[in-house]
Order: sequence, then structure tokens, then C-alpha cells
Amino acid sequence: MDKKLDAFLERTLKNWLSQQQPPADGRKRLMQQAERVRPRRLARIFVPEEALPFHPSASPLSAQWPQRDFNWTAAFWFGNDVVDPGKFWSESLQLRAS
Amino acid sequence: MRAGFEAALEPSDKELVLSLQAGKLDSLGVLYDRHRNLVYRTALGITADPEAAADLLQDVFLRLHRFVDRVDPDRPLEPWLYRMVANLSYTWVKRRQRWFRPLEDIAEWLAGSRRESPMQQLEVDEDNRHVQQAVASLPLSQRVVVVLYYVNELPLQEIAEILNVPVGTVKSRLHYGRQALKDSLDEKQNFLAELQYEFT
Repeated sequence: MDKKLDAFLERTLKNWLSQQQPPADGRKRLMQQAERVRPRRLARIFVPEEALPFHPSASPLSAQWPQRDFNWTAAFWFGNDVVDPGKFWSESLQLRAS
Repeated sequence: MRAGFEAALEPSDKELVLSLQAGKLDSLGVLYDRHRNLVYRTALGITADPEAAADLLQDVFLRLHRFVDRVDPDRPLEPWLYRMVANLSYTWVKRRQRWFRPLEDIAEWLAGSRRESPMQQLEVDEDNRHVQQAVASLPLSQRVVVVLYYVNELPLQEIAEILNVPVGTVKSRLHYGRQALKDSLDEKQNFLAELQYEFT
């Protein structure tokens, strides 16, 4: 019975919804609204890594600080956008290495 | 053959997302045309309200535009759209439930909306109407799963990822949703008789 019911529900729901169409002027309305909305861009902050207090060069002992002491998931706000400092830091190091 | 060749020339979702990230707004229109039915029908299945579904359709694509920098072009776009429309529809129904209209009324409203259009009413199968009412009266969490499973044919694992719940929870909601639908439809003796006749 479950299989029969499954097959019937699938067919009936699809029948019902396939007859429904989104509004004809939807695209026009969307484009008008989208033109007024500014996409949120991810911010990029350029700070020399040596200037960061937790950079190894900032303290002779800092290289021994356990990684777990840093909360890399913490984000800080710049304007309206969230920047992941962990990601920023790794990108910055890659850039420097290249 | 020709249609296949032309399809191959159409930009992929990835190309369109990259183009939108570069600020080309036309790509949003192409993505809208490509996925609007999927988004609209999912929203309609969950909300049972054509006006709300139309608004949610707009909202989903405006959010795609606004937060396109956070969309990973290397991953398929459809799960992102499903997640967005499911979450927005969920929020819409919860708000409506709380502030405007008890959930039970949605089924009545759905039946009423059919009466508003005589031509449509003639076309709609009576069995369809029973099932729509039964789906609309399901608890919201079960309804979302039922729509994603039956209408969008998504596997349980994908539904779990979209709703950010364990697969076991999806299975449970589907089981109880199916059972509730069956109980609801059991009340319609003639309907079930027809169902058994049709599938035996």
C-alpha cells in the first residue's frame, strides 16, 4: 500500500504543481529590483603580517603558542561584510610565499 | 541533435555565477529563467499560497544577487536554491502561523482559492484536491520533506543536507508525513477505493 500511495502522491503532487506557473512579469520585476540592490562584497584588508600581534616575529616565544589558543573561527566586521581572519591569514601567507 | 548542440552552447550555472560575481547582471536573468519553475513550485508546495510563492521566488534570486560572492561556483547551484527556498518558505509559514492564520485554515483557504476560478475548478481533479488539502494540513517540518521528496525527487541524503538535519530525522519526518497523509486520505473512503482500483 505504501508503494501505491507513494506513486499516487508523487503523481498527484507533480500534476498539481506542474500546472502552476510563476508570474509572467517575474524576470522584469527581479531585474528592476536587482538594479537597486548592491551586492555585498567580501572585504579585503591589507595589513603587513608582521604588524599583527600574533605573528611569530612579534615574540620569540610566540612560535611555541599552541594553535588551539587561537580562535580562528572568530570573525571581525569590516563595513557590512564578515571577514574570516583565518582565511585572510592563510591567503596572505600564500601571497607572500609566491 | 541540433537541440543538444545548442544546449551545449548555453553557459553553465558555474559560468553564470562567475559572470554574476563579476557584476554582469544579465546572468541573473538567465539563472532566473533556468531555475524559476523549480523555486516557484517548491515554494508553492510548502506555502500553498501563489502570491507568497511569487514573492519568495523574487526573494531567492535577489539574495543570490546580493550574496553571490559567498556562492561557490564549483559546487552545483540547485542545492543552494533548494536550501534558500526551503528556509524562506519555512520562515514565511511560521510567521503566518504565529501572526495571521492558523495552519488548519490553509487547507480551507486552498479549497477556497480553487472556487475563485471556475475554469480551473473544472480542470482540477477531485483526487488532486484531497491530496493538496492533506499536504497543506501536515505539520510544517513534514510538509517540507514531503514536497522535496515527492515533488523534487531529492534523495534523503540531499534533503538532510538542505535542511541541515540528520538523515534519520528526514526519514522520520517522511514516515510520519506519509502516515498522516494516509490517515487523512483514509477518511475519504471513496478516494481510497479509487486509489486501490487505479493501482491494482
